[in-house]
Amino acid sequence: MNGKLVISSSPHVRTIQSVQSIMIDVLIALGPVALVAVLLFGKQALITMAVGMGAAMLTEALWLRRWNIFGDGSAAVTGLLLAMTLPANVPWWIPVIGAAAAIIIGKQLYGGIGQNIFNPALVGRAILVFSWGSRLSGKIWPVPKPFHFFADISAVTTATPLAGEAEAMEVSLSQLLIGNMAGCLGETSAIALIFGAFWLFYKGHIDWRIPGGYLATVWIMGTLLGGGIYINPYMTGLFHLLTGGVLLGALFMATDMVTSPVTPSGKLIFGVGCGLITMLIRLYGAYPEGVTFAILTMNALTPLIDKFTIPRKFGEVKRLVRP
Amino acid sequence: MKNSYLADITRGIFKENPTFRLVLGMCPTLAVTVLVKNGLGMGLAVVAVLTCSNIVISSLRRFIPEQVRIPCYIVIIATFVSIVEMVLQAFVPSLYAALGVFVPLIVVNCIILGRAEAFAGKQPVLRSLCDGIGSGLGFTLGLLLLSLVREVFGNGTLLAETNYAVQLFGPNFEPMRLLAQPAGAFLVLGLLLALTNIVFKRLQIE
Amino acid sequence: MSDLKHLLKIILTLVVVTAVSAGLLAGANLLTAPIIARQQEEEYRAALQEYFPQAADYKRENLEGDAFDLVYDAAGGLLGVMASTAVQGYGGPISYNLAVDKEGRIVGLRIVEHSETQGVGDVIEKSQFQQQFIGKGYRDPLKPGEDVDTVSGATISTSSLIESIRSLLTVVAENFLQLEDEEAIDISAVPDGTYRGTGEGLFDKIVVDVTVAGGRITVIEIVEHSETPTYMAEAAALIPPQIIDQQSLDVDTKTGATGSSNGIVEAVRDALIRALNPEGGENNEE
Repeated sequence: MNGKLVISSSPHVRTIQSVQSIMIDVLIALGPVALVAVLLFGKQALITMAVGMGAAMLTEALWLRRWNIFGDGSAAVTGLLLAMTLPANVPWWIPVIGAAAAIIIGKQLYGGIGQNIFNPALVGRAILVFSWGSRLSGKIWPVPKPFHFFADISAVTTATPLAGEAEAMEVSLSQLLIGNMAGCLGETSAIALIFGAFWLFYKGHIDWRIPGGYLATVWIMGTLLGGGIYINPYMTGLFHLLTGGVLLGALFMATDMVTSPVTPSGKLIFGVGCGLITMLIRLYGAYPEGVTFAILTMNALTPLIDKFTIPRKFGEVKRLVRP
Repeated sequence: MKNSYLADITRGIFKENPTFRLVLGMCPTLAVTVLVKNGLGMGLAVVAVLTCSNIVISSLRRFIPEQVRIPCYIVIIATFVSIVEMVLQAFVPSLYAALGVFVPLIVVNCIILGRAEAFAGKQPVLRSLCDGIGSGLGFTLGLLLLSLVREVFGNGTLLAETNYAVQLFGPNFEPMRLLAQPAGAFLVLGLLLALTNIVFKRLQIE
Repeated sequence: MSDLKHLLKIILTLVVVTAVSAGLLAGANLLTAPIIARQQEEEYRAALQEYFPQAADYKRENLEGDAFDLVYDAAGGLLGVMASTAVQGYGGPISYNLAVDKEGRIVGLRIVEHSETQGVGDVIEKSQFQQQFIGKGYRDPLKPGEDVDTVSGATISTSSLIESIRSLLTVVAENFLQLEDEEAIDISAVPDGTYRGTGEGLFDKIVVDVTVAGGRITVIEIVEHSETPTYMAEAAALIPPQIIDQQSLDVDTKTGATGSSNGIVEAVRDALIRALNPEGGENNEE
């Protein structure tokens, strides 16, 4: 499973990158986010992330009957990303079932790494949301207690600011940036997410087009349609960018190499589409947050986008339609 | 000769199982399998209709002209479906309520017309009878497996809404609601199809 | 010649097959119909017993084609009424039972049969939809969007049912429970001022401004209506003077324009209710 992972349109240049090295880079990039999550939500955050990663790696090792638990590292990334979409106070079996479902249904049944159509972590999350929705939505998000590692954070919970309820909305811009608000583990701190993503940009693992298209669309739609100054002064474009899972999704999930288009214009279309669906769900849908379903929907469209955006070969002319 | 009758029955259950091998009649398969009771009830209703229609169609096969065989089959099948519907409504009203619109829809179930066209219209009565029972039981088996998985994990019960209802897990068990939803039906069906493919491959059955 | 023979054979086959099938169906229907009817009767009894646990006896009365069962307890006291009726839904008639206690409050709603679209109109079967009627009285507006909700996508199914329940409830309250059809309003308690209220006329809303001074209604002004002008003129000439004269809403509305007259009374009542409960009136602004 340690073969070369080369997905791009031609011309192809061989690199010494392996799946494992990329996955380790992703784990490094998620480091700051995980650190902030532990600082904010304490030991429960650490347990949830550890359980998610452990369960994902164990499931993959068992499925492939492989002794090397870490393997190519992709299972660890899936497990960690899944845990980051959960509230810190979920019971232990939620990340376990979610990670197992993500690995088996989201990845291995399609034929393993590189073959899956959907982002495995989001498949895991979707299954959890549909199965135990009351634990993953509503007024269940723990309010963080920064720097109290052993504090029990499940005592005070609230709705996500996106639900548009007054009490949850009173968050300042600086709180949004640092992440001192109710939410799932990996979505609260904008600074940590951007900081981590820089590592991936630096390493060249992600392209600006997907997050760029995604975030720009969310910002524009949030500014124009978010209620803005008319209905709710908080619901601005910036608010929509910094709350919920948009940054986590745009920087770490939509950019998954396997499930996003390979052509440059395709990536842009993919990002814009994710942003569009996210905002449609947020503004007009029944759920307060739409990142999961937006990215999964666009994942399904990826082969189509690739098909229509393959760059023309040098000298190729548009095929004439015969009368 | 006896062997051939037995083969007619087992073929419908295993080698040409309507749900897992032929992938026919998916609409009721996906829609009613929330509870074992509904799945089993639908399966047995199909057994009844399929057996009766196979017998009648087979015995009339020499008299029905080629050109109008499909309308005749449909009328025969619809008659039996309506009778089954009335019987269900009279004697098992709760099942009738649960199966709802899917009982009349048995008329257009691909398996029944499929068996009539592919088998009963050409074969003698006894063999058609065996084929009807076999295919019907195969369909029932598919529905039973699907509804078993969905009810146990999606609802936490076994045989709910019957006199033998069992609460399988403790009060703290939180059922996997996804499986009771339509999306869960597709998911479980897909997993069961994959599983049967593996089994058949291992057993070297074509 | 053989062509004709062949054609005849085809026709004959189809005729025989359909005739036999029709015969079979008739036979099956003959056998099962009484059982089905008994089954439904039993279900109806069980539902009645559930809505009125003390029920010991009931007496059926028919009114305008609908059946009303007056339910009595063991001592012979009236417990309430279980009404059976049908209303045209989207896919066909929706037949249902409505159980009303003796104070005119809905205690049970039971859909007996319907042909609404699977997955859309069949929300009327869902308890979430049905529960919103429980406890509602005949004085409640039962208006979609106000105190009961239609279900988007199934507007026809749900709103026709709501409409029917409202009128059935009124029929039950007025004919079998002998309830006063309107709650008395203490006009003297209304603070001075001008209040706006709306009522339902024959065609659409009727909006009135009611001015109260010193605990008396002094002016009733019709602000907006969509009634036929001549009828409305008659109603407007007759009703407001009567109300002001008698200082009561219990006026004779059986004029040549009953619909418009009732609408005016309803609008005045609405205005006075809002005047007494300024809180409740706010969210009714449109």
